[in-house]
Amino acid sequence: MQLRSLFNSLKDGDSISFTYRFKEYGQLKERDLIVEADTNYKGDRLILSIKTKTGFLGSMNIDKVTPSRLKAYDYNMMSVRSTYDFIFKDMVMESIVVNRKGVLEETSSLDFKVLSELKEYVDEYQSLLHQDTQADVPEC
Amino acid sequence: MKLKPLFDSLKDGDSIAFTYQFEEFGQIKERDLIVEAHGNYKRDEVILSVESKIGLFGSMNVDKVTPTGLKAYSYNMMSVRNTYDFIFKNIIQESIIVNRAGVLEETSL
Repeated sequence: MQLRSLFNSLKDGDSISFTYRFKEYGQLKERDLIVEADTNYKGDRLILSIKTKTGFLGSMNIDKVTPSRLKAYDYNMMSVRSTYDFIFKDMVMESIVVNRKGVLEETSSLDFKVLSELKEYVDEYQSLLHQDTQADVPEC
Repeated sequence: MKLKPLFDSLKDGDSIAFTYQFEEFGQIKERDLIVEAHGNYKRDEVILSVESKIGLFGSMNVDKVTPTGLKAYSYNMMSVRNTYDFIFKNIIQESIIVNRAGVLEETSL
């Protein structure tokens, strides 16, 4: 799954939530994050921002979505800019949930695999059922 | 007036308010700031923090008071540290207000 195109597909009001693994003070940690899409104040451009789901650690704006990461930035109280790269490979794939206009879509690669296997199984079952039904119909 | 001893003299609950001039995106601006003193979680040390008076720009912790300014820092949401030096000579008033346990004192600079 191309995460870049997923993030670029967001429209105003959509969001993507996921769990992110990162190192903090030498320890590996996980944090539940949410990327939200909103139009800018002029209403002519879509901007992405990222924050923690719990919301008390602040937020960052997303400058660019590259093939490998989200490049984010923020400003401190004296307008000093700091940056952070959210790298796609550090996102827990199974945790990715897309919210499009209030409708949730799970997009993990694992779920895709399970769903496609399940679909194959259902198709095969339906085709067998169809064959059986055809066999039961008496010929006129 | 030496500002270092003034900031170093703050006790838990005290604060100093002043107007600070600085450059932001190429323009000279002024911001009303307040430095507050709090006891740390062990209550054995006083720590200083600085925030804007209107409070919507966030805040920074003061790491050190030097003879020329306040060395401040903050962390973003992913624990990336950034720093800022509040330089005493950019405090633009002739006097600043010190609040000691609710009692206001005006100190000439």
